[in-house]
Amino acid sequence: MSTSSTLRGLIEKRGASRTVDGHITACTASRDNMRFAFTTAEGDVIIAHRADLREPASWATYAVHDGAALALAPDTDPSGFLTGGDDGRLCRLDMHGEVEELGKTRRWVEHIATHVDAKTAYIASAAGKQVELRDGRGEAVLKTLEHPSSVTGIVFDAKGKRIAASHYNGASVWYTQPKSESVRPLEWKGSHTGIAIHPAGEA
Amino acid sequence: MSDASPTSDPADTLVPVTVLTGFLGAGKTTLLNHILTAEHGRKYAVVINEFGELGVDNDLVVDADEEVFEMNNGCICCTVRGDLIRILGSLMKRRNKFDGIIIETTGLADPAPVAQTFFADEDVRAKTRLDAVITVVDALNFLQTLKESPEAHQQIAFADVIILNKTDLVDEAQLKAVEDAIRKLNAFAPIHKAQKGNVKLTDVMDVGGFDLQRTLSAVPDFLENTHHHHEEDVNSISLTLKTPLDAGRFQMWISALLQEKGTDILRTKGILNFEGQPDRFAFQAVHMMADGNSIGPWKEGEVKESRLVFIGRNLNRPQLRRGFESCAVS
Repeated sequence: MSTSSTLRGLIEKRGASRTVDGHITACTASRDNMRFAFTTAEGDVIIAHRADLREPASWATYAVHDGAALALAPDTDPSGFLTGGDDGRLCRLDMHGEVEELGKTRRWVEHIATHVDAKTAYIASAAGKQVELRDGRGEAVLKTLEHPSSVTGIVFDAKGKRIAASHYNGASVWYTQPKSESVRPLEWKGSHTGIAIHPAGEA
Repeated sequence: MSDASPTSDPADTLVPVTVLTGFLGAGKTTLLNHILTAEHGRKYAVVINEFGELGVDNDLVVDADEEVFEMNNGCICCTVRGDLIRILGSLMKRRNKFDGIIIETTGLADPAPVAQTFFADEDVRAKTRLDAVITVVDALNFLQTLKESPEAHQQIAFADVIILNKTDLVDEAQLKAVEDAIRKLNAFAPIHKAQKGNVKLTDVMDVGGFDLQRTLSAVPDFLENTHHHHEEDVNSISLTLKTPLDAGRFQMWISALLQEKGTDILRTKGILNFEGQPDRFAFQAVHMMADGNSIGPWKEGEVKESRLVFIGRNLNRPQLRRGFESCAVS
């Protein structure tokens, strides 16, 4: 009780809120932490800039997906976002509000992960049992990774050398470099619903 | 178990889900398209499997993967459809976009994991209700299919409603033979004859709530003295009890029974008259997973009796009857 009233106090003092029809399906900050994005079950993406964070009326809304927006991640550039929807599209929403379709499948695009460092940048998206690994621009598909069942989460390691996907009865770890085809299956019985990698690569 | 009044019945706010099963080529997709294009002013979200050859004419179509997950209770028959849990969860965030959900399974699928998903997963249970399992039967090829595949037996056993399709392709004698074969496996599900899936919508959609009651009240008493079937075959048994039941005793008996014999008992359904309860209690189970709720008071002039139906293998009628009778208030 006291926690929730403290939180509400914080929102009133330091933040702002806006209510949308339907559900919010995901939220994240852009890579430069200047903008925040929220996706909705209506397929919209709401962008709040740090400058007008406290004025929800000025937050921009973009209709990106036909159907629900299911996945959201910061783009490989500092200010954009990537979204996936149940229309099977992987989209880029840049800082000017332009929407670019990077890919389209028959399946729901349910997960997106990105990695950027000085040397490389990758975009990964999961639809059904497949994970597609793209270059930082998102234009070329470098690899298509097949899994035994629907992918429930994807994550890059801190250095971008490996990508791991969780699914039913375990997880699969792949190398991102194009020459390596091998997969390291980590079997653990049960339904895995998400995945994370230790920041130092220890687990 | 609460005595909810009809207006505040939570069942009304749950999204009805219809499961469409049937062997390959029986006419599931044709029936599906018939349902979707009919004039009903309703919107459906459709979950199909990836092997469908015919296109489905609908706005909201979701491809599913038929991923069968075991539950972590160590029981091999306690399986659910993991992909459905995910898809239904996501669809429910867009509750306002449709009035009902139709799930089409592949011809080779065992319907149990689909049905069990609606019993086992809390989130799914909280928002949806399994309206009915509709099994489409191809009148021309059914007898052959039945000989060759155990899945066909399961699909008939699980059916709440059976659509006997392609009746124009067979003569009277074969139609009768097919009906008899169906009745041996599932004596209770209403059979609707159709050609190219042309069924009345009221026969297949939104049948759930009263279906159980209609089905059970239509249970013919000749079942009581029907000839003896092969024990290993899927078979159905109906029991009736005029004396009110003791709720506690019934719970004890049925949960022990399903625990022990749940692998063989495919489905259990019943309308029960509990002592001291003004409402009828609807009970149903898929294998070991059971569920029940009160479904309003007895109708004027309706005989207050409890009826229980089992569909499964190796059903021991005398034993089941003795067990059921032992639940009566003394």
